[in-house]
Order: sequence, then structure tokens, then C-alpha cells
Amino acid sequence: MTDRSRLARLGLDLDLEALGDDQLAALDSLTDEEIRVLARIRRKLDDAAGDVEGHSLEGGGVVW
Amino acid sequence: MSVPALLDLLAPGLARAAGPMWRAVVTPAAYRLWLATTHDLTRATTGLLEEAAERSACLGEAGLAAWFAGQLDEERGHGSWVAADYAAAGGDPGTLAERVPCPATARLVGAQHYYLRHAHPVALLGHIALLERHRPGRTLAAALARQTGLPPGAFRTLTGHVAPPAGRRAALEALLARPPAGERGRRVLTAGALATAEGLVELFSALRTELEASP
Repeated sequence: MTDRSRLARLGLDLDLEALGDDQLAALDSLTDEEIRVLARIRRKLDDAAGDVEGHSLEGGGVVW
Repeated sequence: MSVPALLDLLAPGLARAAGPMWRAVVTPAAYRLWLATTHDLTRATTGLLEEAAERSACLGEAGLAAWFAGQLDEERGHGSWVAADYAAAGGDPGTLAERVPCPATARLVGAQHYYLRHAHPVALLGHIALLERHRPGRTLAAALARQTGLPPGAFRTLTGHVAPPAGRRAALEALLARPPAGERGRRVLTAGALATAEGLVELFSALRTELEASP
């Protein structure tokens, strides 16, 4: 079972109910350092996306 | 442990974060800037893959070495797509090689060079696997053609990357499911993917700023 308090303590704010078993298992397997990095990346992603959810160009991706 | 599940966890956020960058590509000049940045990044791919294949072979990781060698074959010619698109968008491809890439580009690629040389080449698998989950959608080129007024022929780089080559993705996922080098390999693979996710979001933001300032 995913340790919610550990994720919260490390700064990862996720809706765990929306995740599948594989994703929960992936989170459980991460080290504390990896969780902190993941939390930092998610904050940057949210900041970059802004407040216009659903307005992204459909099918946006990259070729890099 | 499932590295693919972690990558899938990041994919939706990356797609949202790329949106503002794509929305800023509204003129031919802006599209040329995006292509020039793509040139900066793709020119580094061949060297990374060659070194990854070589180091994997030296470590006795034959499966990993073979996958990188196959990816090298797959990537050949993509630079000419970028140059052709740049010309179709009104630019001079001869100027691309003289560019000085932005720091965000150097950080994105440079992280992979570091992990490759000082940790394990499996890191590059994490980098590629994350990008594979973030291929351009089928409607992106048409949307950009409408936004910029450029002809469909100026978007070969994007349309050519919509679908993964047959068989390559399955082979990649098989390697991700059982990465080499045990737990250390798993951690390096994860680090390679996380470095790419962080590098991408920083590049999206930097490029968006440049695109919005372009004529």
C-alpha cells in the first residue's frame, strides 16, 4: 500500500485515487530523493502549463 | 518496479506544459525558431547514440548496444527533414550550424552525456522512452500550418515523427521492463528520464519566451 504520508512529507501532491496499480507500485519503489525530484518536476510542469487546462494544442508533442 | 508506469505518470503533465510553447508558434519566424532549436537538439542525437552503443558493448550489455545501434539507423536523415522544413519556412538552412544553442538546450542534452559517461548508458534509454511517450499528435502539423500560414510541406519533421517505427517501441518497452545492471540500472534509468522531464519543461518555458518575442 502506497505510503501517502511519505509522499506528502516529500512534497509530492498527487491524487492517488486516480492512479493505476502500476503507477502506485512505481511510486512505492522510488527512493526519497527520486520522489523529491519528481515533486519538483511536477511543480514546474504545473507552472509551465498555466491555468488554461484543456486549451493546449491538441496532439502537442516534441520530436527531440 | 515499473519504470514505464513512472514515465506514463509524467506524460500528461508534459503534454500540458508543451501547450503554451506550441500556442506561441503563430508566425513563420516563430516556427523557424522552433526548427532551429530542434536542429540544436537533433544534431546531438547521433553522437549520443553512437557513444551509448559503444559503452553498452564495452559493459557487455549486448541487448542495450543493439537497441541503440538500431535507433541510430532510425534517426539517420532526420536532420535533413529539419533543414528542408527550415527552407520551406523561409529560412536559410546554411545558417543553422552557426547557431549558439540556448542553455536550456545544452542542459537537456548535457545531462545525458553526463549519465552516459559517469553512470551507465541505460540512462539514455530513460531519455528516449520519455520522448517516445511525447510524440507529436496527428493534428499538430495541421494546427501549426493554420497558425503560421505556412504550407503543409513545411512540417515534415513533425509529421515524420507521429508514428513510432514498427517494432522499435516494443523492443524499447521490453528493455524498460527488465533494465540491465540491476537496481543501480533501474535508478540510472529513472534518473535519465527525470533529467529529461525537468530539462524539457525548462526548455518549453525558455522557448516559449523566445517565441513570444519573435516577429
